[in-house]
Amino acid sequence: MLPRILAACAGVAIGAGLYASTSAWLAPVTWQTIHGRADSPGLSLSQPSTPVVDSTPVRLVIPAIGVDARVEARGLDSDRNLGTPGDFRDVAWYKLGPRPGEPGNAVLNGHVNWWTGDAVFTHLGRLRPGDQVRVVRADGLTLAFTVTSRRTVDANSRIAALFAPSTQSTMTLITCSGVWNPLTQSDTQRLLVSATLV
Amino acid sequence: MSRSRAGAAAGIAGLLLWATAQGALAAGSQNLWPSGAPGSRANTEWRTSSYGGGIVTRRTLIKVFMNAGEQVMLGSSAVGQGTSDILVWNPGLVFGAIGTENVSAAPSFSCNAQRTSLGAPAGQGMITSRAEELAGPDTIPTGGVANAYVPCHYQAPSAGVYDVAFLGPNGFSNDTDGNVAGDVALLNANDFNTQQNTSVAAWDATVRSGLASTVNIAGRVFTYYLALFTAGNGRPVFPTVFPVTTDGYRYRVSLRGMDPNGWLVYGNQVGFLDSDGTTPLYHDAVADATGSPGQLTGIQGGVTFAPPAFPLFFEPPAAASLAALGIPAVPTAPAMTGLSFSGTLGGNTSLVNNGGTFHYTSNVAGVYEIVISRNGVNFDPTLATNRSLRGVRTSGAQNVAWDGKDNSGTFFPVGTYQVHARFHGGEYHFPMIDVENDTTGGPTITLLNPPGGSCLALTGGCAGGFYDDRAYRTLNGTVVDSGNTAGNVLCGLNPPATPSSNAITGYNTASAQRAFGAASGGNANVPCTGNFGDAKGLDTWTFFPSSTQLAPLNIVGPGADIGIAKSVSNATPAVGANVTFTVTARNNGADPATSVQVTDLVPAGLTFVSAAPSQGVYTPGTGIWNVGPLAFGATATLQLTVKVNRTTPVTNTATRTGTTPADPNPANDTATSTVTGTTVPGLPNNGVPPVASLWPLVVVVLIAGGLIAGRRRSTGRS
Repeated sequence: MLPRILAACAGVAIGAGLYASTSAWLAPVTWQTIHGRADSPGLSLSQPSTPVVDSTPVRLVIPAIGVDARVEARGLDSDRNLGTPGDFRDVAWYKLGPRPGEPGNAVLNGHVNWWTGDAVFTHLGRLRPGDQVRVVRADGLTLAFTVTSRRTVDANSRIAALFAPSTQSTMTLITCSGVWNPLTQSDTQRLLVSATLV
Repeated sequence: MSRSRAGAAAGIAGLLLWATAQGALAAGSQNLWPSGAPGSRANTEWRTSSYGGGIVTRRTLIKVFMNAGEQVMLGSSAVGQGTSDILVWNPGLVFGAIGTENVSAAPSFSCNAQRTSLGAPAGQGMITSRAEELAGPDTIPTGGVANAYVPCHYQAPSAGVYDVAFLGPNGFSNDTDGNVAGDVALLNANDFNTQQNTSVAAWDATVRSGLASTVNIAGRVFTYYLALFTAGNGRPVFPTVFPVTTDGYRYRVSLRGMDPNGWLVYGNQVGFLDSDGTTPLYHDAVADATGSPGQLTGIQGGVTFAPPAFPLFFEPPAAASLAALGIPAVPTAPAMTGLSFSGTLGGNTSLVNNGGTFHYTSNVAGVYEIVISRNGVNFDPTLATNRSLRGVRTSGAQNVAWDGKDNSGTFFPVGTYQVHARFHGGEYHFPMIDVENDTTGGPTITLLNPPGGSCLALTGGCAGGFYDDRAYRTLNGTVVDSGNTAGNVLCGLNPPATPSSNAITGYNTASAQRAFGAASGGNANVPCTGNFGDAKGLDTWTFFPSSTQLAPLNIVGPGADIGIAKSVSNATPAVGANVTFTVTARNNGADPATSVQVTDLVPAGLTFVSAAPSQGVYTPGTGIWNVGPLAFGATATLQLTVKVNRTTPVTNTATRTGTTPADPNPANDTATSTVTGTTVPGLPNNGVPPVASLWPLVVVVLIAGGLIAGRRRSTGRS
């Protein structure tokens, strides 16, 4: 993980003004720093000759729990529940809602475990208010969020506030918690970690 | 008589000297009629007849606690008259039930023997004036206490409780009424002559450390009951006594102007006993016509006296006296926990006409009070349609049987009922036996040492109490008084305007609420013809209650009570999603059901998907689930899966629509569940089963893999 983070920081240093903040994330992009695996969706391996703005999230980086994951765009499943990532190492961004950094609440989820053991959000519960969460966009821009709170809710909850319009740019990370219920084939609760754009 | 004149001459100066020298009052009739006491005097009796048909003999047996070497100083207004005497028995010589003690043992001491012995001081043992009564005993040799009487005296050979009898001029075994003057001032000749007969007007039993001491040791003298006689009505009395319950609650009882003729002053935990001989009555005893109704020889309805049980001190008791009696110095607040009901059909459900058993735990011994309310609102234990269960129990886990009936003897019908219960500490009953009149409202009973320092539960606070002067039905079905109607005020002239206190919160015993009778007269000694208290035992009681506990119970009828319950897998599913309702039908008894039908028609807003009954058949078009037979205690379930079509709430109802035999309890025949569809996305499912739950599958795979590999190896070798 460390080399990737250093690479990101280096990219920001080279492309002065590209490191996002609440006032700068819409600034003209003149050069992109590309991270992640080469097969990441929405990524281009070539440098464009003209500035490109693409706010689609492509990577999620959470240094406090060692997460550096690819972002998959997902909608709803047949039960109108949030779609989950196809790869246990990835996170799923709810593509019918705001993108991270846009006004409103961007929703991302990831698995808490997998048949092979740990998954991307196994340690999501360790995050504390003040921890940093970074989102790398397709255009190379990196957005910084700060964890503000966390809570657990019933697995069957439908929380309208997660999807409500807002002028603020926030993000909610979701994974399973509680205990496994073999009848429903699901954990009994969900862990929700909220973060705000810095 | 010369001593009397000398006492009078000493006057106020002498009294002041006494007050300064003594510090505490001498113990005896001067406690009952202290300086300045209003009203009339009652003589203390020692005679052979009884109250309650032999339950309480008409004699006052005084008890004195002494340490070894201490002296009890003794005197009475009857000493020197006829065959009077003052007798003392060492600890253990007098024995038997309180009220009928065996006093046949030879006394350990006789005042007459001492006063007639060679060298005895003149007038020894004789109280000859009001001044001497108030001054108490002199020292031996005499001269230590001004205005005092010359006492007989007995030194305690060992520590213990000594018994003392003050015999009137008629001696040990006589039953002739005294010609009692009744004057507090002791100015009538009959206060000192042979006309006292079986009584004494003044008496004294004072404990001192030695004969030369002038210091009275307070709180050592008590009795379990006072047999008193005023010889007429229109002679109100105002003594104050200090009873203590065996669990350490100390009371002050002011007679406050009650106007008896001959009567008893005593206290116990239960008042009178119902016709079963054990259940506390919480009503008044009414004499029948047998024997001497004024002494309640026979009591209507099979009611009996409960004998005196609590020591009655003449001043606040000494700690040493309480310790000698095994009474705690500080009472413990009562607490009741774990109230529940066990029905005959299991849980808290009983078949009608069968009753059941209550369970509770208390931290102390005392009296339980359980009230089953007919309407769930009124918990009056005396209400005919309620049922009260009350009794004396030790501490710890207890069971109380209930026969299923209300207070009028009618079985509770089918239904669900609420129960309130509390536990009484310090329960104290003060029956007024044959007290014809009390125009000021009966005794004032005040709790002096409430646990926690306050008495907030009862009206009147620490002076709170209860009475019930209404006709009632005893456990053997008899209405007392005869010819009356239960609930109406009892027979007798001039009854109290308010025939009972509030049965839950009581009344203020310092008030005039219970005033009855007239200013004089009314002593017919025939049931129901005299003033209200004549030929009756009027109970007044109080207690320190625990907090109230609650528990419900169910009464079901013959037949099969089918209870319906319902739940839904998700009350807020996404529109378009499926949810599953679970309908449960349980036979609560008491009979097996040969046929049960439940109807659950899927309402608009939901679309039937599938049904999975544990037994029977569900028809989607009609919603009828023919469950079939259901044994007592058995349960059947229906899993009804539907699709949710809208975002407004949809209520699905399951109702029992048929049972054979009939269902006696319609209260639990219907159950509902509501779902509200939503378009808000649901949360993702980001988990897989924990590894531990997969081990059985892993084992199967390994075994299967091993078999395949083995077959391949086998094939390869071949």
